[in-house]
Amino acid sequence: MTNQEIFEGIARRDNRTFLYLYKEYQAQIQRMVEKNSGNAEDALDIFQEGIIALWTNIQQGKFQLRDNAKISSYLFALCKNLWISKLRKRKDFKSLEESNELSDEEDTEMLLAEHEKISELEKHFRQLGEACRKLLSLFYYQKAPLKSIAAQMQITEKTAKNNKYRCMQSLRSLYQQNAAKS
Amino acid sequence: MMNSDQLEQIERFLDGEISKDALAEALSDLSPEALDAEIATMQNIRTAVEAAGLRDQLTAALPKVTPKPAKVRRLVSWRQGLAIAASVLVLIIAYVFWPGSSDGGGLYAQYEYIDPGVPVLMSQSDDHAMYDALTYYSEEDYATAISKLAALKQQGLNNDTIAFYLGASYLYERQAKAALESLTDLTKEEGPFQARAQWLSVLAALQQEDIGSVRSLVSPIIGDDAHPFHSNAKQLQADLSQ
Repeated sequence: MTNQEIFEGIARRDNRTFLYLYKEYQAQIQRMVEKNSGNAEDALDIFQEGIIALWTNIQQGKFQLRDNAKISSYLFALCKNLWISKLRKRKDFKSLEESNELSDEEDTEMLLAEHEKISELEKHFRQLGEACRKLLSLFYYQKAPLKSIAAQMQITEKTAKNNKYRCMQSLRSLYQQNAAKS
Repeated sequence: MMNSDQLEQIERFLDGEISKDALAEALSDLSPEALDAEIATMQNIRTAVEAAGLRDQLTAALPKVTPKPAKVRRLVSWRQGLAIAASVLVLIIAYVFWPGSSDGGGLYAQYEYIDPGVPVLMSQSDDHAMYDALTYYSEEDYATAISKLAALKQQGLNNDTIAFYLGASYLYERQAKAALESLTDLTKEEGPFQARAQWLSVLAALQQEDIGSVRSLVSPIIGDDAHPFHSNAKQLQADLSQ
């Protein structure tokens, strides 16, 4: 797959692209994690988190493809920094082997900051009640129209619309409370 | 606090339906800075909800980690081992060359898509049996999901959710004909299951090695640039042409 195809595949959440990236790069990421106090399961978590971080930045318009920069290098750099961050949280950080594969061009600081912001918000989303999570997920993730959401949830379309507003307000208030704290 | 209409206007802007000027006019009581902050908040929330869905999608789509087997004491001698290996080889040869033994699953395996299912909410489902069936589905116990969903259908409960998950379960249990029967109506109706039902129908035809049906089932997907399985369908068509 070309860089452009990978970029577009991630943007549209294409499983075939994710499986391609897994096949091509997971072993490399696993080696990096296993050399640094982690195991295969940690490596899979980090790979998944790296994909979500890339997708988040593409979605938010923060990540654009540059000439001569391989998207796989960004993925690896993101995974490496995500793993460092996880080790720090575990207070298990000694020293991570420096990789020659990374160059200054693949500076991921901004990408990670954006990902962290969205991850925090995702945690708030997971704190919502089940009904809210289902409704918002159907609407924003599955792109289902309100009419079919209403049918699935056995409520009227008007109730679905009102509930969506209520759920969004709950999430906005959790987000704003958190923003005020930090 | 923003009201429902104001939020809707911001969503319309984010969806590209109205311009920034039109949005500013509709929300003229907000300063430009406050408006930008509200737009950013809404954009972030939408991305976070999608990210949660993507996380579940990846968990379902990526291969699971299998723990490395622990070293065990040798329980058989090398002679016994050789005899076992020879038996296994005979079985493999018999399987490969036995007429009709191939599942023809090369392309199917390459394109298989396991639908993770939607979160099952007890509070949203007043029918415990439905909750039960969908839980088995999400745990990938498709045989049990089939028996539970089919029982619900027999009781006269027949909706799109049952049809879709029944069809998907049949597919993953390699019962392509039954899968197609359950999914066909959904492929024709616009709704949350249509796109996935269309792709699962393609996979069912692949399981049956019915290339003519595969070609006709992928064509509406290829014709729709926004279809979530558009690129998969195009690639499959290219593979079939080779």
